[in-house]
Amino acid sequence: MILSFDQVSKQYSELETAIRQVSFEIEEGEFTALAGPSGSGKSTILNLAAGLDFPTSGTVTLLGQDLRALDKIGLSHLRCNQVGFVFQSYNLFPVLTALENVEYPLALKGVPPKERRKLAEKALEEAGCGTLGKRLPSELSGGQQQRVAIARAIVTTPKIVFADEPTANLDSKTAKMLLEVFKDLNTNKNITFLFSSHDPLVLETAERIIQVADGKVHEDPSNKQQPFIKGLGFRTPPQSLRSTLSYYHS
Amino acid sequence: MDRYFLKLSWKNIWRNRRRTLLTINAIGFGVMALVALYNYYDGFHDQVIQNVIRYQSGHLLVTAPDYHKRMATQLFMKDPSEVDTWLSSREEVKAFSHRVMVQGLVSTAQGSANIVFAGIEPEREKDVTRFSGNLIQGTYFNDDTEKPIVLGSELANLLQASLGSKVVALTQGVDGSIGNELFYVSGIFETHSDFDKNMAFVHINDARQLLSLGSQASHQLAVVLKNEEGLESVQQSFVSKFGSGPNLPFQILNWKEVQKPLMAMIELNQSANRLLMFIIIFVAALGIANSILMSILERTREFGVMLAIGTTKKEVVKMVVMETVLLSLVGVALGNVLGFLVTEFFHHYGFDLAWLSSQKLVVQGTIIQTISYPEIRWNNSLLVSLIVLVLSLVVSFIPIKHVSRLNPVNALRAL
Ligand SMILES: Nc1ncnc2c1ncn2[C@@H]1O[C@H](COP(=O)(O)OP(=O)(O)OP(=O)(O)O)[C@@H](O)[C@H]1O
Ligand SMILES: [Mg+2]
Repeated sequence: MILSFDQVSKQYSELETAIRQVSFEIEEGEFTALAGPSGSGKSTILNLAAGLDFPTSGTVTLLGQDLRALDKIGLSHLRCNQVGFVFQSYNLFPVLTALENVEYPLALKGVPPKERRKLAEKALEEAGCGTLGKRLPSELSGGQQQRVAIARAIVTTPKIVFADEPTANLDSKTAKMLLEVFKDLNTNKNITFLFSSHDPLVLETAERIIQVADGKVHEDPSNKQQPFIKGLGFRTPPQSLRSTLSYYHS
Repeated sequence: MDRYFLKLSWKNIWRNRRRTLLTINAIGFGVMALVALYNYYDGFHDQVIQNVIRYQSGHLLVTAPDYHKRMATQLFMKDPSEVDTWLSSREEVKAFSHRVMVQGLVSTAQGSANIVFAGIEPEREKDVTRFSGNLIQGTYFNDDTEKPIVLGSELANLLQASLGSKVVALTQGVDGSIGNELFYVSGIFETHSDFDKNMAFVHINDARQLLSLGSQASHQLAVVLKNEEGLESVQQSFVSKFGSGPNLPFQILNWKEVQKPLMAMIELNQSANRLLMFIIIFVAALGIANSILMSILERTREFGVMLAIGTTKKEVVKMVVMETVLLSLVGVALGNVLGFLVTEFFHHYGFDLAWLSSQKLVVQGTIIQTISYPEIRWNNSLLVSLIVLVLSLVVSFIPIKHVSRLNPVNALRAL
């Protein structure tokens, strides 16, 4: 088990309870989507999972660590070494080239320049943008920027990558290509993925879907039992996804 | 932190080119102004001091006690020959010369004036002060005129005297008798200062006669040293040899003691400059603070990303400090280069502050040359640079509060 939420609630204010008594577990190597409409609490869950924020009650355990037991520096180190993050709006550093952006987490870790460069080039390769290293973010398309952001997230070979609506700003074709990159990394490097989306096309690719609605999660147990078969592409959308799709289409 | 973060900081300060250039120029201009001004003033002060030493007091002045304060004719040294002997034996001494100063009336048929007759030893005085260089007509006590007198140019005009003219000197001797003497104009000098209208030079023996003084008597013994370093040791050994006190025959003063008003002026000038420095640097620091604060407020979201992907707040602060220091380093470097160029320029062409004032700068009757040729002085550059850098370091910690309050979740939501 790589991540677990145990009775986690997050209350921003007396009026605003973002999530209520949320419990779920994620195993190593899973490829999981958080699905749900806007405002349902997806970002909140991801932020709590990465230790960017803390629950009002309940326990978040990441990589065997109770996040509340770690101090700020411990959390920073955990994120720097074991966790990758991909954001909706790419969030590359605009003054750095693609390659330098990918080097950032390695520089933080103190990896020497030569090795850093090599690892960053490899990560760009794996994210499918090996030729774009010299360009500035402003010279890249949205999809390309997101690939660079993925390279930045995986360059330290983290155990788990969190991605908050990674495809929300992209057209569906680009989105799909990007998810294939995720999937490849999941399969080939055994990186666990937890991403959020409300895009049915994206959710289709998920191996497991956790539904978030009104700050609560529920999961169709049926969809967990069908394992993803490597090399055979994506399986048919499970029951829960069908209900999500009908939710969006209604 | 390695070169990666240095590069990142460097790139970060150039995100807003115009703002950065403005800040750098503000720092650069301030540093330039201060460095150039300090170089100028240092040169100017040195020049004033040299002027005064070479035209008036010399490095050291031996008088009867209190003479310098009261300038009374009665306060003369009766026989300073033992001082002469002692001075001649000192390695550090370059030259010395006696003077007898007489307050009195000078007149011709055309007019009269109350002036100071400076009785000097012409040959020795030449090595002590540069007065002989101001002669515009005639000679400086080296023709065979009997009872020669050298008049200031304005005084000569007033008296309508020219070379060879007869003038009468009238004064009260130390014994109360009236002394009067006929002199012949042998030269005319011009200094463009008050001296030109209230001073005349005569031979020291003629001045002694006018005052009914003995043949060794002297009011002032001006001493010039080979270099200024010897000042204190000579003064000290003089005191241990001849003592010091109101009842002893001699008193020794260095030029700083003689020129108290001048030193006060220089000190006032220097504190005004220091004040100016603090104002300019304070303004520059405000510019830096403004620039860095703005660049930080714009980057809230980026800081959120940094924190989210594992940067500690300490590392973010380090980066901000590095940016600030880099920014001011560039400004300081620019300012020093400009300050160097400005100083070099005026080193060749001279710089004159006279246009700032309609009055001539006169200290104790000596006109002070306001034009000066400043030199590069590294201690000025170093001082100004250091203060700017230290202050920028202080200023760079202003945003710490902002960074420490950052919450990655909220920062990521920021636009
Ligand atoms: N910092 C905050 N302060 C107050 N309320 C917040 C804060 N962040 C989120 N919320 C509230 O918590 C609830 C869940 O928000 P969250 O951002 O997790 O939803 P989401 O599922 O990510 O939505 P979206 O799909 O629009 O990104 C919302 O009602 C939101 O208004
Ligand atoms: Mg969200």
